[in-house]
Amino acid sequence: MKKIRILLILSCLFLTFGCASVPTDPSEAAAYRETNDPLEPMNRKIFAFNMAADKYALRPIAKGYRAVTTDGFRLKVRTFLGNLKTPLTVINDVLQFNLKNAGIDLSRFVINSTLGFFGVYDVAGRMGLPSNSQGFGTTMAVWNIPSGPYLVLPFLGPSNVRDTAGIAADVFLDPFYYVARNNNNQDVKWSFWTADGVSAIATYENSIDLLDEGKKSALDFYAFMRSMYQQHRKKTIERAKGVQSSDKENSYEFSLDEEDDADE
Amino acid sequence: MKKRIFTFLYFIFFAFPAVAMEAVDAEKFARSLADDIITNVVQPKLTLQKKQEIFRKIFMKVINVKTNARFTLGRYAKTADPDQLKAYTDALADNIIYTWTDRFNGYAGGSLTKDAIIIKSSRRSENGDFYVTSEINLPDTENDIEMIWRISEKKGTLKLADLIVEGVSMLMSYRNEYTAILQQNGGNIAALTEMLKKKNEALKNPAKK
Repeated sequence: MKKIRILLILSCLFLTFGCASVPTDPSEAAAYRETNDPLEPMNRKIFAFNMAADKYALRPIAKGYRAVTTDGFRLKVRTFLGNLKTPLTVINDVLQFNLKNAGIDLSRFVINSTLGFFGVYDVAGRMGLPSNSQGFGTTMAVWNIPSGPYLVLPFLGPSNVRDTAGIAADVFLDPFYYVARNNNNQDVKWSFWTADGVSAIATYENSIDLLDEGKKSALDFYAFMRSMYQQHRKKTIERAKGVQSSDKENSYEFSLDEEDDADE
Repeated sequence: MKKRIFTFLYFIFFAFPAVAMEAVDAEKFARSLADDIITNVVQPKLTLQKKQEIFRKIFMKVINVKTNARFTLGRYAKTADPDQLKAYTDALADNIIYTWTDRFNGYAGGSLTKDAIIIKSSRRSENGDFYVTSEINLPDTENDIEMIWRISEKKGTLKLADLIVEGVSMLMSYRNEYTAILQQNGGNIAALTEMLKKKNEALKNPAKK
């Protein structure tokens, strides 16, 4: 529900701020298409909001969490919460027609939930079954559904239209959602949403250092984050599609003399 | 006959070394560069300024700074005059050196050892460059980090062209960010250079925590 409300707020913001205009110069228009950010004026405002939320709310919480825990403990928390999301990954593996990964991830869930002491230890990882996390955004990408424009979501950060829809769909694809919904015990419902809340803090704590490093050296942090997100997302999707690393599609095998023929 | 012997000798002495670079050489290049940085920049107990100095020497030797700087300007490189380009190139090199020394310093005395970086594979791309895939394995993290070294060959020597960490190319990131700035300021490279210089001052002498 929470996530749907965010989407509603987002669509209101969308109507308020509108779009950037398409440049008329051909090489500028090409650059405009490449960044895929027609909603930049709105996105920058949400980004500024997120930076304020980071400073006054998210960071103090994450730093507090960091202060009272050790690196090893936080890894166990992430492993435990990651394990709870593994059934959702298995469903997405199946939807991506990747039965091999579905088998691996299902085995991971069973092994870690039992031998791994309810998912606190990644025993399966040590047995050579690497962790893998899939959401419906990636599944849609595997189905060749285009990403749509780049979006910055309030609190959640960089995304795009397809992946935002994926976030909403994942709530309903997660088997634990139905376990919580159909259980009359309030404690079970309560723990489902608590896990999501703790998960948000744990994920945020884990990304603070990366954000700080970027902020330290970037001249335009917004553009820096957009580029990082888009490149990393492309890699995740290539991996899910099973594209071999020798494939020309690799985003990083560009020619270094590219600027010479950019505006032909 | 003489001519043919001459051609043969020419081939042996000149032509052969020019094609001698192989993926395995690129792997060795990446390995020795990683070891060099870990031994001389990451691990020793030195001041940040001293580390910056050491890393600068290592870095300037292994990269082709002019080509890289030009690339990061994208289509704006053509409009730059040589002086502007030179000033920008110097500021960019400083930015990379200070940024990375600061990151390496964060790992000082800790988990980033030679053993943490494992070279996995290498290949030559259609664009002529080598791509060496390595993994960085740090404790208390879930997954190994994939880092790919893009290595160019020019006249028989190897140069580091790019680093790609989990799909994110350093060169492309700089280019995307800086061309976004240039697009907003009407292609003013001098202004971008000034922004960089200001940033570099802060990176060079970071405030004590």
